[in-house]
Amino acid sequence: MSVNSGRRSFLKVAVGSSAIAVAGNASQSQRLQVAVVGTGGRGSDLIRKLTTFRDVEIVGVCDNYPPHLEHGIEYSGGAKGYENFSQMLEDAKPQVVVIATPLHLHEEMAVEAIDFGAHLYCEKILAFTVEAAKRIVDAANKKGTILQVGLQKRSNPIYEQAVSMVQTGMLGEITAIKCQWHRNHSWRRPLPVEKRHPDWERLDRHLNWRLYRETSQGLMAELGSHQMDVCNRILGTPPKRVLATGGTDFWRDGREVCDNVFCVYEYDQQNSEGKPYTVRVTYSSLQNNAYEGASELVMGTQGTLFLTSKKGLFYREETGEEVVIDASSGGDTGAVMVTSGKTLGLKNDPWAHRGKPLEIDSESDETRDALYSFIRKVQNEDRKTICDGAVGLENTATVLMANQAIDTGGGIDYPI
Amino acid sequence: MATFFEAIIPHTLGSIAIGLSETLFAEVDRVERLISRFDPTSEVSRVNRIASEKPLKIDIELHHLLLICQEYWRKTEGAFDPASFHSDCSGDFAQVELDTSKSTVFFKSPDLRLDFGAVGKGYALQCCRKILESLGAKNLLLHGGTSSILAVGGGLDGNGWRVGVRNPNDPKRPAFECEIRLHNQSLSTSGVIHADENESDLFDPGTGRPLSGSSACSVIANDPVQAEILSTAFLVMGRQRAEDYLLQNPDENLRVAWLEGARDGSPLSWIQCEATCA
Repeated sequence: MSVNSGRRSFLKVAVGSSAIAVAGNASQSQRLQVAVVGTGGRGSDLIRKLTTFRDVEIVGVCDNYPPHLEHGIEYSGGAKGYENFSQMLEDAKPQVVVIATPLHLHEEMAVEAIDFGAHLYCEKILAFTVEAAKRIVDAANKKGTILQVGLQKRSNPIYEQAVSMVQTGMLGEITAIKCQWHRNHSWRRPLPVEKRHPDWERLDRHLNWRLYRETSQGLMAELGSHQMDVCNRILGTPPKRVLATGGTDFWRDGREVCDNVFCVYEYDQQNSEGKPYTVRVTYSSLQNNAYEGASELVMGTQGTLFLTSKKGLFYREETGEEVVIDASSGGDTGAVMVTSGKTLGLKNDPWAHRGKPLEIDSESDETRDALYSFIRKVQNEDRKTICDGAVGLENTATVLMANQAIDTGGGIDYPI
Repeated sequence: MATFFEAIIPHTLGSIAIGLSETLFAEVDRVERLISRFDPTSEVSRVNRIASEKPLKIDIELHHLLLICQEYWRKTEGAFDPASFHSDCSGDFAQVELDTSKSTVFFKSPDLRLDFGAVGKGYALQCCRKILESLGAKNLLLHGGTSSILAVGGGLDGNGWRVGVRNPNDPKRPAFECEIRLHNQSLSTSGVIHADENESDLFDPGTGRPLSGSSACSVIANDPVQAEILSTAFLVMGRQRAEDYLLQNPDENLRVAWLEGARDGSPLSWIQCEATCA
């Protein structure tokens, strides 16, 4: 048997989205009236991307924290500001509502926007509980609402390419996926007042809502949701089971959500002969070490994909290939191998097995492309968005089952 | 910006300093994602790819920054120019059409690109300062790559953040050419050439050629964007035109120091300074 390594040539593939070239082409007369609720960091980002579309008009921005509302008004180019969501709906009469509020508020606002008759772009995860997510999806289905959930990697061409590569069998059979979102960051925002100030606690709960269980589902919802969505897409199914553990071990600053989580998800798959097997996906999120950052490693029998939002790398596995040996002829061509006086060296480089990767690059802005796609779906009255209610619901359940596993506990204590 | 940022934060509570530094670095990253021409997903990369096809509606913050750049391009008579041609590196911001009412930008030439290299660090510092003000932070120093500095408050002893200016032509000279104390000010230093370089990384937008000579210029201003833009523009202009600029655009808050590459004696002289710093 011989290994054909000469084929491992260097390739570079650039994927782009056609959205970039045609964005902003529609006529002024059909400008879509959009209102945005929640104008903190994420909401402001969404507003700013929306202002780059010619066929979108921001008719209202809403936030109950005045400094954030001011940002929203400024970034929208002077849209009318509201402190009350219902009042914005009534007054601005938007055709589309974008929700970027803290998670515990999603359901109430989403259902109200749907009942009002607006189409909906809702930040991930869709809702605080699976039941709430179901209520949103049911309401949207009943009303015919066009709904898109802000799972960012849905609009990233690198992930689009990765899913195709898996589906066409370039990785062989998928055996495992390792996902992580590691960073060295407290996740806590500094407040404009000192700790002894009477408003400190209220402001902390408001601005640092991600850290408290009343308002947040923690790392799995805020970070893990994007990556578990990638796994569900690649494996073509939601997981059947999860084991998980986590805790608040490093940032002991009064937060209630975990600062590190580790999960093992199990997925049912079928091999090429139609026989069932289990793929295990490990997911971890850390807030005190950033090595390899936010990335996914998809492992298959024929190759490995290393994915990040700006670059994908594909490594072929070194596997044996069939060679034809002509025993009747002499010389080199008939030999199964050639030996000489020299012992061939083995590379000491720990990464030598990886070879040169096939690179996948992207010029796409995930958030802008996600909004662009959604706006087009609304204009075309097409409910099949790139991340619709069914996906949002599946994603919510995938994420929250890990949190439930962490809360429930399990495992075996030492010594046995 | 392809450089590192560092914050020096006097504190009594470590967690507050950590939170503050995370917020500042997140802001620097945000600005980078907006204006870097090396990041293909940035708004500026989108502009550089397609703004010559038709007027392109762009992010309001980037539009605002382009207006500031346009103003300095005019005031410096082209010595500062963030619009340059791919083909010969010369600049011509006149090829950039801005429509404020529509928030659009249009390149009259497909050969054009935006490069915020001579303003980006200062702009990042300005954005950070806004955040620091909103948080009520009163005393810290933030710098990008040591060449662009924002000083908030009066430093460790209250008498100003102490910053040394070194001669870039001769790093072996141990002593500072001078020490500057910054109170709620910005300092930006640009040098034509550093001891380990053969050719300047600064280009004259008029000719598209790298700058020659061995000058360096430090500008102290209240506004970090102004300091950043002028320190490079003055080098492009040369000392005489820089002095003319300061006469034509009087600004009593500006301090400008000029270093000529002499290795003996102090090569530093002030073009414009406070009485106390001479």
